[in-house]
Amino acid sequence: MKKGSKKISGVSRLSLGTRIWRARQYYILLLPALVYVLIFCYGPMYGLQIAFKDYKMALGIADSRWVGFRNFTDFFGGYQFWTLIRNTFVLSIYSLVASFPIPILLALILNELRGKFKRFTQTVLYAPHFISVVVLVGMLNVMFSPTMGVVNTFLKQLGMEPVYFLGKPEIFRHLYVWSGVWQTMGWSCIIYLAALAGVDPSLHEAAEIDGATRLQRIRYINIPTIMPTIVITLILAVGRVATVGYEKIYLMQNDLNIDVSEVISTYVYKRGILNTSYSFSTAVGLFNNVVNVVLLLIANMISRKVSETSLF
Amino acid sequence: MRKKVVSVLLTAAMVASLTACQNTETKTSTTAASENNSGEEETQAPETVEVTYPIVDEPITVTGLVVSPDTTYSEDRLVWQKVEEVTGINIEWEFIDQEALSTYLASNDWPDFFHVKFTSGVLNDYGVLGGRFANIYDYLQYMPNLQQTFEDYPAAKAAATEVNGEMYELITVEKSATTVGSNRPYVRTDVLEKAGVEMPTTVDEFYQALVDLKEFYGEASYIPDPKQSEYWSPILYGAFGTEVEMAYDNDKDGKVYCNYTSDQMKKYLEFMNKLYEEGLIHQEFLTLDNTVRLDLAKSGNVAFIGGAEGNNLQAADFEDGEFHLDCGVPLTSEYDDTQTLAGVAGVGGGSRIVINAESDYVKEICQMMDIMYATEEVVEGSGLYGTSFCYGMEGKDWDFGPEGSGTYTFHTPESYDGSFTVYQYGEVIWANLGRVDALEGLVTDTVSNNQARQQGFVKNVLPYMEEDYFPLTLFKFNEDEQYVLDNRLADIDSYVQSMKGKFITGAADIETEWETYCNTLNDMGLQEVIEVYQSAYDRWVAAVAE
Repeated sequence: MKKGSKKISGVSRLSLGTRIWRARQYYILLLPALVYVLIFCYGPMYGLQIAFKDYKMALGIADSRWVGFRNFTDFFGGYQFWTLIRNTFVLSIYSLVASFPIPILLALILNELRGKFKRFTQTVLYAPHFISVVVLVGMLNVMFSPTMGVVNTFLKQLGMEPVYFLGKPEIFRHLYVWSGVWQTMGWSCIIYLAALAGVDPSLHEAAEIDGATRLQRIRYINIPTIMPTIVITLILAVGRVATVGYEKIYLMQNDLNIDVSEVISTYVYKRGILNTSYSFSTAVGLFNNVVNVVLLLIANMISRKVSETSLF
Repeated sequence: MRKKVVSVLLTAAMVASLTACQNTETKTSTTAASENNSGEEETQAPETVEVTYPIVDEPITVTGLVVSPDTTYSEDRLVWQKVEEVTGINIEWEFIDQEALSTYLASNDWPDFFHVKFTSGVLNDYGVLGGRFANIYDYLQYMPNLQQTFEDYPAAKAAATEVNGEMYELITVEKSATTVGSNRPYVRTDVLEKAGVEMPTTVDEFYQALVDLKEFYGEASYIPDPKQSEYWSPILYGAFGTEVEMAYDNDKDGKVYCNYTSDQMKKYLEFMNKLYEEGLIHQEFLTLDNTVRLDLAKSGNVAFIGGAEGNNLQAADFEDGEFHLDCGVPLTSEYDDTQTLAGVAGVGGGSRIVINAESDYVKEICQMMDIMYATEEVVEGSGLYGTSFCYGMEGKDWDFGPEGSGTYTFHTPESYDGSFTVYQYGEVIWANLGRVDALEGLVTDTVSNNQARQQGFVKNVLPYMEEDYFPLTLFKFNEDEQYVLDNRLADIDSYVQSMKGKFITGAADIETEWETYCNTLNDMGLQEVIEVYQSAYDRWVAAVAE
């Protein structure tokens, strides 16, 4: 063994070039993905500089005027800044809390089902995922309409006053979050079902012989098995907390609920995209991503310390 | 250790790239300044050169770009074919979708001219800053019809001139029975008649009509505009005082002010709130989509409707198969007994022509486009002049009606099942352009939705429109002004829109929250916005007076 080299897990530490050459077939397989990421993920980062510029299309990125942090201070100093931050985080955290555990529970339940009923249930649960957001919001409008909606018709039959669900700011968040839960829970549970499929059947057989109940087997075998998947999914979800997609909110937004429905992404769409303020949009997007990265790193660090499972 | 080295390298790379970008500030400012200087020199009055047809001795070919055209029926247009025939200039059309326009412009592979209405941002970027669009003032001597149009419509010249004094767009001037701006108070007269209700002329009558209609039909008979800026909104708003503009306006001394916080706005919103509380307007007017609104209008129980409904009602939607669609008259009240509506400029609608400064044929294209502003046919028997760029060739696609009839006739091929509009945009033109004023005040003699609405405008709207107007949508802003608007306007508009909805539906109490609303608007920088509009308005007045 050469001086300075260490033996790790029984494998000699070789030079980087030698190791790459030995594993060249794997690297060749990796190459397309690597090129893709470089071109489509790292390449466009060149454009990030327009967050610090007054970008003009005719002048291009390089020749547009440098304005430093003006776009950021415009955003931070904007009249709606704190409202946007509050609405974005409240909606995002509420969505996370409501929608994260349900697919796990669903996967655990589905895993216990067998036969045609299981397949039928899975199909029914996956189906809403394929409904477009526009259609989903249209369905909400129709179902919750005070004059024509099925919900209010039911309320009226019970002798109650109709409720203008879509116009009530205090109801908006619940409507947004729970319609999202309904639409995504089936699809989101697939990853946990896949993890559950990897559980060693002999563990269950042994537990059954030992007299463990079904709930005990779920608690002591299934949940620990999928725990790394749960942790990784949670870390990734926390890394998206500052980002709320604008399409659904924008479609559900109206003059009456705008105090709680105006989030960073809808604001950027209105001010940045519709008014072609690309620099402003980029600055806000960069701010969003920085917050997301910080949150992701914090979540990853906590997870590593608590559960020894982490992204990196 | 290795991680630390990588981190330091990445940080250094980012700082270096950002610092490198800083060097461009001076260059851009200089460019803007030089553009500004050149602009002042370009606006001197030119000598007119007589244009003869064909324009060129030897045929030439130019390329034109149309954005999101309807090519279902044809990939060419009859008017432009006639233009080619008359001028000797062949046009090769290119088509792209609206979404691809920004990318297309960035590609630098441009056609000779664009047939599109660019945003002010594009004009500023590629025109004022980039110098990529031809300055039409340099070629005005070849455009006698455009010169005449500028004399007839000084607003057209003011609207087309950028802040640097140059002109990049050939804009549209349109005066017709439908040039009424936001004043489109559509009403189904059959719904009124069936319930024995007269067309209201005062606010009290309007209120009583809604009460009677609700009693008769059992539901609200008015669907207000969710944005509270068009259709019946300005009609009702105008009844509560002397103001006719719902947003910004100028007084007789030229001072710009805002009506968002006026007493008249407060009275109007109080009235709307009363209608809402009593269930006289549709309770979901803020969230109804256009399909539902149209279905409600078709139901025959709703009398007072907006544009999405009024424009789309067909004969089959009426019980007897005949159009009973009209416009309401301006209402009066105890606060104002005059029937007036906001005036409109009649310029700046439709599409535009913008010429690539690097084209080899800028002069020839200008001469060709000058036909769009002619008031009589440029070549005898061709039927081609300004109005053709909206309705087609006179004598072929349309004709004036008998003298004194106040009508015109469209000639639609049988394959179009009587719909001139489909034929017009499917085969005749790409989009409205040029000087379209030959049919001013006339209505079509074809029984149609268009005819019903035009008759309504001519009878109940156009006579009450003021000659003066506040040209908000035609203003040009310099970079500093645009920066203020970018920072202030989105918040202000969103807040006003939201509060109007809340005041009307009772989600916010007008009595207790009006002052807070006014103060909030001031905190949002409304005064700064007014100052910007004041500067733009002063420039506008000066440009029109030139």
